[in-house]
Amino acid sequence: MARTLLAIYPQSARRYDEMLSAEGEVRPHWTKFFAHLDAVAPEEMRQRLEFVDRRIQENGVTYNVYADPSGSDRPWALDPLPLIIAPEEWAKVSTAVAQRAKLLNAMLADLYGDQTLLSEGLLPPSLVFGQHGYLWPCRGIKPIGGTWLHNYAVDLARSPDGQWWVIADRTQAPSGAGYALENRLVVSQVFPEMFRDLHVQHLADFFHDQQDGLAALAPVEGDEQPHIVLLTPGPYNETYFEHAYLSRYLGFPLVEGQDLTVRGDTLYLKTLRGLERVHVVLRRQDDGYCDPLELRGDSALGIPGLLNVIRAGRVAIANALGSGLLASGALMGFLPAICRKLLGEELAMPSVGTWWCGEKPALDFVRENFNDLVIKPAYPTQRKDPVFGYELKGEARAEMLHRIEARPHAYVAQEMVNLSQGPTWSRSHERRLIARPVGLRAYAVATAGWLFGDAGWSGACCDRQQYTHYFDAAGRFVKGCLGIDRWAGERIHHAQAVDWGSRSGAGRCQPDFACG
Amino acid sequence: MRAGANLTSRVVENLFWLGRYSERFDDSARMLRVALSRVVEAGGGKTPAVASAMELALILGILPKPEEDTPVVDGSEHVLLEAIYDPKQPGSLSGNIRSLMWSATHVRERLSLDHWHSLNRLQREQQAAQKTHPTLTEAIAFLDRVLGVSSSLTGFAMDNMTRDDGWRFLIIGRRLERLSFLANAISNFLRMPSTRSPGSLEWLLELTDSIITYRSRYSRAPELMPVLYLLVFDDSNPHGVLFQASVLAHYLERMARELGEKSESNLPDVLNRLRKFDMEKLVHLEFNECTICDPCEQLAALLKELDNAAVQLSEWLGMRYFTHVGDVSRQTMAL
Repeated sequence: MARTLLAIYPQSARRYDEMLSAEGEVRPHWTKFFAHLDAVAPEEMRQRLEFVDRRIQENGVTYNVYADPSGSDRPWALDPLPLIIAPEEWAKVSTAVAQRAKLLNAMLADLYGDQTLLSEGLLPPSLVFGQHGYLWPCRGIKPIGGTWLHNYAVDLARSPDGQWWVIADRTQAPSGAGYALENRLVVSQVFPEMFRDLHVQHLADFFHDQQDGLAALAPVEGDEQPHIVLLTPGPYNETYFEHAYLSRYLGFPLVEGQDLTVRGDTLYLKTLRGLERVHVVLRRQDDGYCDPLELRGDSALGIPGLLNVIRAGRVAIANALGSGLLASGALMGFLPAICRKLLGEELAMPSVGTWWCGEKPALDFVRENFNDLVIKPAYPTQRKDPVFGYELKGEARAEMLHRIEARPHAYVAQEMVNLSQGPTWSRSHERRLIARPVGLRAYAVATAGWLFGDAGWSGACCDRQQYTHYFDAAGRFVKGCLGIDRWAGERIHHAQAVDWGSRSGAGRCQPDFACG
Repeated sequence: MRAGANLTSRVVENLFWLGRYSERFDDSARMLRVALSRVVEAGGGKTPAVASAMELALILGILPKPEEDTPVVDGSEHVLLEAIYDPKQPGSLSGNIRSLMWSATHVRERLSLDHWHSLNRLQREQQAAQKTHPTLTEAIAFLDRVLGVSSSLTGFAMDNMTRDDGWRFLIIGRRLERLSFLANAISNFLRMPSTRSPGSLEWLLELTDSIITYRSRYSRAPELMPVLYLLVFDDSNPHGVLFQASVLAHYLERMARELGEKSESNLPDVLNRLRKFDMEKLVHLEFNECTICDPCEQLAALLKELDNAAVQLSEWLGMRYFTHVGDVSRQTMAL
């Protein structure tokens, strides 16, 4: 037997290691998997890697079904190793994510309703009304079931002390769950015995929850069956593959804006055999584009009159129009107080230190600590890339500062987190593990009974140090498999896409957290 | 569940227009090839055949209409080349190919890989041609290739696609476009004084891809009556007016049966009158000596009506099955 894989595994004192404890021991929830991995012959591992590559290649075929207008293909390397998180730890994470989803839902209800958060000074009005994300025409709308946020995703990072932090909230139309499902299918076949032994919960439950949750909201009349559609911006969208994949998996017809029409106060799907009423729209299109009549007039993707149908309570939109507002990083600093006020409890998981430059003291702080911060656009509608303070020198720095001072409300500064690291399988060596930074995207979905079922998500492992670098300006998480072409110069080597819940004890089922 | 019950209107509409555009670019390519080869034959001179072919192409909107404030440039060459290669020119061949690709992209998952490859070849041909400054001979060769691709597209449509509602709309689109083109072309042909010069009936046969049939059937120089019989009344000629109309009627009837709505079209009525048209009236006519006489004018008027009926039918299909305008008016009344 060759030397153990640990012999040359680079542990770092500056980072939390997902697999190893500070003393260099394999953490209990990793032991089974690591023992298995350590015992696999190099030849067999090579075959497994080839299997992954072949499957990805086949997936690549599905990517290329639709002509890419720019002709650029998307390199996607999936690492075969899962990221394993202990069940008790995951339970904490999922509770925190569910709380946050509930909180953000309550905030949306307040901001589009009574606005007590503004009147009581818990949020500065300029932060809310100063961005395009606040859709004025949606003011006063009460979505069916009081649910604004049917799908929520949150990007998490773990600091060296083992604490999870929220890096960003995704409230618009979070993408990635479909890719997660697909990655899971690939990786579970690489280690089928481990997948069985560790009792990883299947992702199917997450999607069933989503189906049930949406069907429960459908405003049906008489004996109508709930008719749920998935609204996509079309084949030119970068995540179109996922839309098509999910649509097939969930059994919701994939439709574009021009497939739908509003007649009276009802939304219909236009089919050859006539108009069919639609009860629920799962949207993967930004809310501003959804109704050219009342929102962005230049949208060719929208459905004129949609807002009227929503007001009449005759269609549920998931997520509700206007929810993109809360994806703004500028809100993070205000969340603890809002949580106490709206939910009467403490925020379970902290957000990474964030300063909204729209407030004078924060702006001063940013100016003084420029080197230690990442400057990001405050609102998801701004299409700008994050900038690292320490990378800016001389004129570039002066210009950046000038820009911030000219429009302070449009910028936030975030502290840089030293991400945790996890093992990936090296492709350039015979038999070696490489440590890569780890991020996690967790999903929450509104279930039928207003419970949040949640599922975890893998992070992308990157060869760049700072996690925050991997979000683009629109707030999209840049994964190895998608969006990478939007990031000139960035090459993400491994998108590690599956988290496995290990079951350490007997008889207890692991909450599903691998929705990757 | 009936097959195709879940077809969205958008998919069907794009199939319909895929049919129309593939026929439309075929028609314009043929018209342009007729004109171009006449120009090449004439060696730069303006023969009567050149003049009449160019005139018809202009009337049909295949050649760009000269704008009033632009000076008339002598020679037909550049107008023809523009009509072939300039995608910005309304009605140009390139523009039609572009529209065809646009519709095809939206129904790509319904086309076979080979079908898609043919479409891609078409687009590559067009893009390659735009980069150079082609001569007239090269342009003719280009049109030959384009028409080759066109026939492969027809083959895929007829032989490689499942016969569902979507497919029927594709075929309806093709037949409707060809019917409109033929009716419009022949009607104008009969009304244009310039076609009375020698050589015109030949190119009309070439335009409608019927010259071989004509020769093998009649073995003599084209004469008005047999030509019109072949192009209008002979329902075994796939490039004939009645042939299109009867195929179209067949599918419309089937659709009415399955989708439960009869088209509000006066196509059958016009068609009946056309069938009753007395060919005997044309027997003794020497086309060369005919100044637009009564029988010619009557037939031309009928064909024009047929063209209008085809256009109206297209509009009705759009409103009934794609935008569902009918449904809203009923609904508003019910409210």
